[in-house]
Amino acid sequence: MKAYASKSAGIVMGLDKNGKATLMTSAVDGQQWQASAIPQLMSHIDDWQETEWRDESTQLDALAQQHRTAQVINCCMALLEGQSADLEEEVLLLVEEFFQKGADSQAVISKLLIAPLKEPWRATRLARNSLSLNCSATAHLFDELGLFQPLLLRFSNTWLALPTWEFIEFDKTRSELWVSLAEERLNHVLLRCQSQKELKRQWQPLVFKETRPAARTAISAIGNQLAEALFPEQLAVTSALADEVQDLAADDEELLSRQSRPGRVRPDVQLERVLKQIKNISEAVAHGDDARAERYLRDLIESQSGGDTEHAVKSLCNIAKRCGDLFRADFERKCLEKALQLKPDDSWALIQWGDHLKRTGQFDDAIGAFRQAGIYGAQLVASTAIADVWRMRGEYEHALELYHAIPDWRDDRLIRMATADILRFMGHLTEATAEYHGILQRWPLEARAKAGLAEVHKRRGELGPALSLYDQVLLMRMDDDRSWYIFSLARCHLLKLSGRLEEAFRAADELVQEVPFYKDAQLQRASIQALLGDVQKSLLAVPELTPKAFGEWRQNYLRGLLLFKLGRYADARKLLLERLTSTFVRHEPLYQLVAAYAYLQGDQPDAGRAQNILIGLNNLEDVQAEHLRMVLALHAATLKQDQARAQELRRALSAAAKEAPPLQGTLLALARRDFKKVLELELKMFLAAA
Amino acid sequence: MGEEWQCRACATPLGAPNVRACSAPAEQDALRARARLAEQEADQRGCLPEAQAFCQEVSTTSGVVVALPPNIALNLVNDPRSIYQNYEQLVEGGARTPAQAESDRKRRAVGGLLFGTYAREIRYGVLSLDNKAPASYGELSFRLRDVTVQQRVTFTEANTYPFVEQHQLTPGKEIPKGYRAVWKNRDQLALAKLGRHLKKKQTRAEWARLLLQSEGDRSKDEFIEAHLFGPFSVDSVEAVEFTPQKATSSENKTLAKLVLAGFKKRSPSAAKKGAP
Repeated sequence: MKAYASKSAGIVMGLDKNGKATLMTSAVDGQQWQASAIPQLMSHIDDWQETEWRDESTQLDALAQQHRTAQVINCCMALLEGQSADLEEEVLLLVEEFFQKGADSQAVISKLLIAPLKEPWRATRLARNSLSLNCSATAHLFDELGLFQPLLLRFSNTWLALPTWEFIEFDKTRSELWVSLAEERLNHVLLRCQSQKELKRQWQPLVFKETRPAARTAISAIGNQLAEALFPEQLAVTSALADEVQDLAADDEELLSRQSRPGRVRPDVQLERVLKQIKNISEAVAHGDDARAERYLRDLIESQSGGDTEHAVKSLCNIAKRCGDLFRADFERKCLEKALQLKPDDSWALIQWGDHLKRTGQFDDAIGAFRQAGIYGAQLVASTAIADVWRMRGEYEHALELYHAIPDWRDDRLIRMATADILRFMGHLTEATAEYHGILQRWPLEARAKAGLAEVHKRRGELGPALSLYDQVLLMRMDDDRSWYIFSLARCHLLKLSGRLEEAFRAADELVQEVPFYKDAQLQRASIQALLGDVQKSLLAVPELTPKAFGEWRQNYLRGLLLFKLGRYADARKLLLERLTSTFVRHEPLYQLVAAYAYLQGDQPDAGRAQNILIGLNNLEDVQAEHLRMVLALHAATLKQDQARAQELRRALSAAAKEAPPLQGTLLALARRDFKKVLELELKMFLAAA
Repeated sequence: MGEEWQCRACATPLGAPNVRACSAPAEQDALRARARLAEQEADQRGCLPEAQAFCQEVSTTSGVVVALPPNIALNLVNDPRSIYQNYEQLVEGGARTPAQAESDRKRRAVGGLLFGTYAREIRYGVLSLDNKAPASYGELSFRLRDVTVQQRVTFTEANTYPFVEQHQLTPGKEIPKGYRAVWKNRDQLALAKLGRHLKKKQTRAEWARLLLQSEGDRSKDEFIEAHLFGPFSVDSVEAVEFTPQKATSSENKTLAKLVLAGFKKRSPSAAKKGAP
């Protein structure tokens, strides 16, 4: 059946077999109306496209996606013109929503690259503002748009400077040809080219579209001119090299034959090229430009793995490490899988692979990888890595045993650090403190040890000393960037706990902008935003998730808290209580606490179930969590009118309130049986602890 | 002459074809007669001053208002030339092209399917006293500047399709005379249609609601329909109002704000936010 569809309106108009209009259907909300009812609307739509209407459901979905894409383009153009701060924020969030619903970012960027911007700085500023709002897809779009501007300006100037007679062979005008580059997304592809050769290759589809030989020749010539205009230095280099070769030929024929052999590159030049490639890949990954990163990666591997794969594996491991530092576990995995494909017995690649598996919660597989690495020669590193897996599993005693079984472990900085951390996790704070001091005495520049001391202070509720230590840590040299980001986030958490919310938000925001894929930083920022009162925006940054990796439970935990804050109790309870028994949360005290909180909500709170959860919790990592546990236990005991238990808890909390005055408010509310107030205050404690 | 703007032989401008059709003496005479009858009826009820005041108000202050949903209105307000360098040279340069003509053909095809003869260049609006259009067609109401529409707008007493059904019009059957007006005699059309509803002590706001009756149900909307020959642009707009409905999505509210902001930039007096 023939039909007409409009992307701008998101409407399709069906025609019957006599060609008469029948129903109008909106692809956006499925609304339908008779064709007779809407002359007022239809006359203003100018982008009708004829189409064959066969599969209504699929085609409506496709039209809805095109409509969203069209809306994104319109919104972006309005943003590039400049809007007030409030409206800009609203529109950025809307654009992100459209992307989440499937708007085509490639189509958008191609359309926006239709001409160079008058004010390119707007794109950069919009990218930055988008990141502040956690709108990562939108940020990436504007970032890319900004990055392409200088090249697009040269490209378009070169295009406009081409003489008119170059275009006489075509059916299309110069403008139409330019517009078709955008519509076919070729402009986007052409702007990514890194060399003349690559641009000419990408230009080929345009050549083959022309049916007449004269037109093909003409368009090919245009492509060559553009390539030479955009990459003139390659032309110059080629000429210079030709001159050099000619000179040398006069002196030394053998040298000439060596130098003219294809593929011969000096080792230092090769190394420089590889380092540059690695840098480009890392940058692309950092920006979320996976397509570009994968392309560069393919080029790198092709150039390196011709004979000896060792260099290719090293490069891949190097890139994987950087991806890990940038919290891009997905790309890290790709690189490591490729490395192991090339060389399955590379012990270093296996160690990194095991580390990746450990961080993503695949503990058994991690141990397997480390054991293999041990077989292939990295015994010591493998042993410590396996011990660390047990530590992450919460099997502290076993982990300690494994660490202390390693010969000369007391002289190994990393094992000493691991031991100190485990003592802290086990709650042996005095021994942990002694161990950290011992490490610092021997290795004064060990930042992790200082951070460990800060965590001990935090656990004891001594926020001032903890902050001061983290300030020192962040000035120290780190083993890697990742450590710096983690410590920075820890400091941000302390600021939040200390009530310095504005400062904490700024710190979290800067971190998110620097490392957009650092999920914990995004969550921290969202929790601070909620404490500052902007709960709706926080919720947007925290979609529901099925945890597949270690640590991902925090997202649902925070989302549950935000839903409680918005009064969406049923949604919050469903989210938190249904996932209570999942592997990832069984051992997570904060998650268990919030589940207990969920049972205390509502018109018919279930104090019994809350108590059952709380009884199973002990040795919580820090004093804030411990306070929460006691407050919730008192709440449950008050509901159950268990006077003895309530009195005991009230005494303990009153003592704690001397160091943590906000607890007084909660105690008073409980004494008055003002449970609504109690729940509010408990929620605030949860958000602070998040 | 048919539906041409200008003479094919000498290129003399002929005026909009819809205006030419409604300006025929027979059409004007019939409308005048109907308006006179309505005036007499009002006089019999003691409402002659009200009828005259109503005509005066419509003649001097009413205008053409077009309703658009925010997502379509945003196309109107975005001006790529203000965002991009060399936009005209890169994108718009050159003579009219086969591709543009093809786009026009599709538009005519769609219009033809819906509206029959008057398809090609007609944009639809309403005659309004209060800058409002039926919100069921779009929450944004654009009042067009009189000077940009006077020479090319005509009015029919009712929405096109109900009008066709009411008068049992079929292809080839003549449209009854006296039910269409041009700009200068739109007040007569309004009186002919609504004269019997005029009462003593009615306010201007009540007249506005008589002229445009809309409760959100398109099938029950009552208005005098405006047919504008040719497109309009942001420069044709005098005022914009946003009237969100219960069902207006937050997405459309945001888009409407963008539209209002866009108009405000181009014409600070034009953009005005409607009732929340």
